[in-house]
Amino acid sequence: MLSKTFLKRITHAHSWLGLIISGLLFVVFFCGSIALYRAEINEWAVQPHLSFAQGEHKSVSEIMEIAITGQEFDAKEHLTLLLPTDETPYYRAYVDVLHDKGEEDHVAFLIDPVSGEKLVEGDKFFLAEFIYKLHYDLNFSAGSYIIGFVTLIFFFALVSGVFIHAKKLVANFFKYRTEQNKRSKLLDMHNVIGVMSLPFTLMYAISGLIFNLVIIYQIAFALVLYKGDQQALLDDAGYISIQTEWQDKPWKNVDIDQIYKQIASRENYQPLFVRMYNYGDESAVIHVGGGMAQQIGGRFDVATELTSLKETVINDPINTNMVRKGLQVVANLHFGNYAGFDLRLLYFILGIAVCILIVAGNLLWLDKYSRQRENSAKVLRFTGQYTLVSTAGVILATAVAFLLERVLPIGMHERDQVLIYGFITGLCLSAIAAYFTDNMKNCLANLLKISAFIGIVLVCYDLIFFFNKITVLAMNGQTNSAWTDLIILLLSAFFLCIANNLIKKEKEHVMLETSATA
Amino acid sequence: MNMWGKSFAAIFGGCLLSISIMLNLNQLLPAAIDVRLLVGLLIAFPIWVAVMVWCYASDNTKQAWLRCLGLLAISAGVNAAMMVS
Repeated sequence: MLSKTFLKRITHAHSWLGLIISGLLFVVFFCGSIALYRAEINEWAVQPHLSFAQGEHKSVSEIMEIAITGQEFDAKEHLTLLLPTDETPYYRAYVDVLHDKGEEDHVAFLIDPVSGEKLVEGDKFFLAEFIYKLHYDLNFSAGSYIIGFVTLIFFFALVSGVFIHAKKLVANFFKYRTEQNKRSKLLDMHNVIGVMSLPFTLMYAISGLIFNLVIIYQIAFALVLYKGDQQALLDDAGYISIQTEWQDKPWKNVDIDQIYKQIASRENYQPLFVRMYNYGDESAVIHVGGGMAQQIGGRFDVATELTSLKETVINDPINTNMVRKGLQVVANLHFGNYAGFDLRLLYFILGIAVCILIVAGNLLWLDKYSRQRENSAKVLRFTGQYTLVSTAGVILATAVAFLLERVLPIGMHERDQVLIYGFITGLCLSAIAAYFTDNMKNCLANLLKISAFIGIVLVCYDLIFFFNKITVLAMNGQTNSAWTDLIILLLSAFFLCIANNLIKKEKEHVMLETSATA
Repeated sequence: MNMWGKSFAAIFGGCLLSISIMLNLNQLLPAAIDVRLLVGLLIAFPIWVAVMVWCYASDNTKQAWLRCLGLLAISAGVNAAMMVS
């Protein structure tokens, strides 16, 4: 049996630590839930602006030549092509270029596979990548460690939550007291979501920690077990790097397309990318990688020297190193990409449910704190504002980023930066609103209403300017734009419902108070 | 202050303890090196969090650190013995 003192201390730590990380944890789950569909969001952003030629695809070698034409290509580095799929009917090319210190080291393009036309610079559409980066590193390099420690505390909150709720874990599994007071409702909501999503959240906590904080164990293992030999550790972990030495002799009789076809036609191989090392030199290597059909976490990576045709298997789908295979399974579980759209929808719902759990947890803390007379009103107000900005503020900022991604001209200078500033502006405006408001509930409702309004404007904009294009795309099987617009509309309706409900309840509350005073 | 002290013990003590235990497990488990590395990776963080729970359940900061350091001394001793052997 767990002692009362143990439970009291753990509950104390659970509530304080939960409150501290709640803001960033909301960003992680909210942006992570959206980022499950980052490929679809990217297509929603890109495709209405582009037109694709119909006909036979150009070969990989032709696309490579097109990609480097007109660029200061640094052949000693890489040229990478992401291959077209049914949903993304174009090549995405990344060309490493000669550059000075501090300058961009690559250029990116989208290339029509039939005409070979360079459609648009690939980095222009940044929304999907930005939301994904917010999820794992807050869009700055050291952010991944901050998110790592937030995840560690989240993992602690899960384990301590299980201890706190252990006695009632089964008995109260479906308990939700709708007719009781506000605190009971919030507690039930927090507990029910926490219990039901437990396997999912545990998986997310462990996999997130592996992605963001594995460096701690990697350094320790390399220093102690491998006497500082990091490469030996990476070898044991199955990480084979492609080593090429520039020979300064042009390649002769090289058939890139034949080698590519020979790899791509192997049983169950589903190539996703092609990367060239030392392009044009005798030492050139082609690296083809991708997934395996009918395997969870299965992937292949094959590197072939173009002159000698010597093949190096970096990732063997049959005889895989357990670390690589294990991490691939962990990644598949985390991203929910081992099944179809419906599995990711389930992940999305669970992710949003965890966002609700976080808000309910903060409201519980506020409720408890406000009952203790000796506590400061300033702390209470600040915590309310913090909860408001880190939840509704993030929703509003994301809505602004979506709007900017759609309405900003493609040729705009530093389009990606403008999108980031738009997100930050949304967050700042919500902070100003939270600072000056006297009624947090009304402020929350208004922020949600504005977010919903932006969503509806966005869909109307698409209907007015891109309706024909989106319809043609959908008829050709590329339904991402239509689906994304529909989901934006549904989420807007959802936020509008919550906002109206909040306003209605607040009015009822004011009327009750007025009648009681009278 | 108690919470901050316990938090330092939980995060730093838990980290060191989990590393030390993982190093021991890595040398003791009768499996291939890649399997041992993967097992280490998967259970390192649960060990860290278990130590965090232990620290937060302590009476005070001092007890949290004593718990961490006591166990760390034993585990580090085994580490050292294995390194020497």
